[in-house]
Amino acid sequence: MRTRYKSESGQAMLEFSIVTISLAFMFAGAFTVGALLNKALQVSNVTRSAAVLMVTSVTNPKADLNLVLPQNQAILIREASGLGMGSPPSYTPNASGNGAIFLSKIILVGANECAAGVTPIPSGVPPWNPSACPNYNSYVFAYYVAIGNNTRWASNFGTPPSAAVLSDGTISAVNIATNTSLQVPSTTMTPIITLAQSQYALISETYADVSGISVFSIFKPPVIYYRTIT
Amino acid sequence: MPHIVTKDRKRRGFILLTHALMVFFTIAMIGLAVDAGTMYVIKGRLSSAVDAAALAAGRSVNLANTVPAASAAATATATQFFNANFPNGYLGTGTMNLTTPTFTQETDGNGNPNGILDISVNASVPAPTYFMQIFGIKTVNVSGTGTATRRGTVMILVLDTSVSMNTPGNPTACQEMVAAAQQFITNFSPYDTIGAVQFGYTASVLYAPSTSFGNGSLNTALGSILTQPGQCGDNTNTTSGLWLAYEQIKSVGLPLAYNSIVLFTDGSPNGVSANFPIRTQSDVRYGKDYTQYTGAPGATCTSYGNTCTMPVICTAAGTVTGTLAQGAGQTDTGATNGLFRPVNTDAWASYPATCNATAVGYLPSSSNNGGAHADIARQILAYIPDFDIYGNSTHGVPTTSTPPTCPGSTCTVATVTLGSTGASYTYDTRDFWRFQCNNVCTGATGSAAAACSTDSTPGQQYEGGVWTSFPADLNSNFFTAGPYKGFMRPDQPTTIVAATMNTAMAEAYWIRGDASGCGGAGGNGTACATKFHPVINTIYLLGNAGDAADHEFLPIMSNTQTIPALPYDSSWTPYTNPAFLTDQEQGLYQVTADKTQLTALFQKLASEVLRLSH
Repeated sequence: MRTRYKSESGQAMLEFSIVTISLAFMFAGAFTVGALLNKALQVSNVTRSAAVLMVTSVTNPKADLNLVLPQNQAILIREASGLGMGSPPSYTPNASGNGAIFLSKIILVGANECAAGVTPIPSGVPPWNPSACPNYNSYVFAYYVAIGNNTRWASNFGTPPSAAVLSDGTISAVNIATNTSLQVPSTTMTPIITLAQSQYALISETYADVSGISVFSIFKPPVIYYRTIT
Repeated sequence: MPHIVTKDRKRRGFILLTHALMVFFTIAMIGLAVDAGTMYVIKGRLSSAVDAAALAAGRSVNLANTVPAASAAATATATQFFNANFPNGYLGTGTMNLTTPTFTQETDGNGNPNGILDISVNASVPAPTYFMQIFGIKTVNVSGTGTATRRGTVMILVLDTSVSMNTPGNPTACQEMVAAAQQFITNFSPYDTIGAVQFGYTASVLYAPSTSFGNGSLNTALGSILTQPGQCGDNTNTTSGLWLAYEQIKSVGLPLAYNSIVLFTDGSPNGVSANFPIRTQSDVRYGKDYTQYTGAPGATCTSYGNTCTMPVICTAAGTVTGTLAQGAGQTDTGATNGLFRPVNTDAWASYPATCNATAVGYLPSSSNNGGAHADIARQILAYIPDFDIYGNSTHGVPTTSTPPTCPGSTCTVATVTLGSTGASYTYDTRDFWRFQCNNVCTGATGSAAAACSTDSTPGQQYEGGVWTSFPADLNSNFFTAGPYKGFMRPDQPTTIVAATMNTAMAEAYWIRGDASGCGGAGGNGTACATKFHPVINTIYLLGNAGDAADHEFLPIMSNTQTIPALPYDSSWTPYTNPAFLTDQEQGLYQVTADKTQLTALFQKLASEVLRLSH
């Protein structure tokens, strides 16, 4: 009887340990997945908000919403609270932080853009052609704003030369029509979306490094990338 | 003892059993959480995708001109943007169902459309489950609705069909204008409203504003300019054209739309519409006396270039309404015409019975559009009054006499005594507006060079005159002596041009700032500075028929911030528009001396309008 008691001693502890460890892994995994989903939703929301702000900024000049200004970028950084892109109270974007937002307007240059940007208008046009309007029928950046850590990440559609981007993120009509360094390869655009001439897409991209949320180092969530094209 | 053994044996494995049960429920709960989380991610992505689809649909309705075609284009674009944001099979989702975008006109509190178009897109997709399949639930339908708004466009084309547009050449400027306008309207959607007004001696509605313009009807109407009798064949009554265009905008009545006038002209306006006082007192002015056309001996005033004591041919005072038009030649001593209908729905000028019937018979009428000897209107009309029939000052921008607004920081206010009436008139310094012809003509070629040559003396052709000194020379726009001293002369072509430029600018000023309809009866109940926020975009074609080129006229009409160079200018430093108003809408001003560039200029305008309205 004593032997039998000895053999049972610690059994409950052992079983509890086994259960605890498995439960711990399970809950840790659930926490990580849940937190990751939460961050994914947050990144999604930030990207959508960025797109909405860009729509306002680009299509309504009277809104006077310059998204190059840190105080306006703070609107998005505040929404991205917890993603390591900026800190309260100012929510100024952190250039070496854990995330970045890229706002781009990409247009397929057509006759209207050529007419707006080529001065003087050469004889014989319209119809327009690439010799009269170098960016004719090409995808071209018409707006670009980078927020946050744009040294670690870049837009999937490329980065326009900074000299061509004005202080409010817009790009002049002349550059849109003639500056070929603003072109976005059609091999980049067409797998995602194909535009008609003079049609444009407003693209909002967000990167967020959320590796900090993992309880276990073996679970390293990838960098979340979210994109909205409006 | 056996009892104890039995009891322990029963306890053995209890925790594992409990754990197994816990694991089952825990996995079920975690599975539910994972599935729910996945649904949220899919839902978020779907919502984002339908929002993007709605915005894209709103932007793409202008890819076609009819409702069915625009709807198809919008659906195709919406699908494209949806797929770009929600890839097929995203997170294991099934076949997506995207509805055709729906378009609904917003209305105000009274049920009237306000010019905003609501676009709605719905989508649903079956989302897979991972753990809930255990309970037989293999998919869950996730749906989302995206909405967007699109600011409609109400646009009235105001097209100059004056004779100078009929420049020799193939195609003529008139033909180029029509072709450019026909191409221009293809940029707009059936949810936009477009109309057209033409102006020569008389302004008329060429095409009443309609959303059906894309069915070819507006294209046909524009083309009819080229088949009208005397196509592009008379004067430039810009003011009535503007007035009529704004009447069309008000009749459409969409205060939140992008309300715009697109004014195309190739020269100086030269038809002033007013209630002209009948001349009952003899005075000295330029000829001609009507009797030279009757064959009767004794005509005293037979030349445009000579002054004479002009006989009176109306014995009773009164007024006659119409548009007094400049005749051939923009000089002080050229021919004048008159009186035409300001708008083609107006009555023809009716002269008092006390006026000489033979003389009246020479003037334009319902049976004689041009008039056999229209120049004798100057014998009947006493002077050009201080205000036209629309209330615009013939002297400058202000539109009211008591007292005018002095909107710019550069203007100063003074008071003078008007004409022989002795009435006091408060004005700003722009009453002295001096329309200077371009005098920097280096590099001008062809017809532009001809115009430049004609107009190379600055400040001569449209000089406004100086109230305070009434210079003795007859180049003054005002009578400097006689019973009509101080009033603008109806016998000088240049004065008619100056008066019309002033009224046209004043009309533009008034249109942009019209606050009628704001609040109160007929309004939307909300106080506002202007109900329709009209924008005046202008395109200026220089060089036709030697018309003078003025740097400031159309930029002021468009309310641009600066006065830019003309194509003739070899060097030019843009300067601040002296009449720029920060509280009024700014339009786009474009100028060219090459008629073949009109299509491109209209394309540029389309780019601007589409950017602002969508």
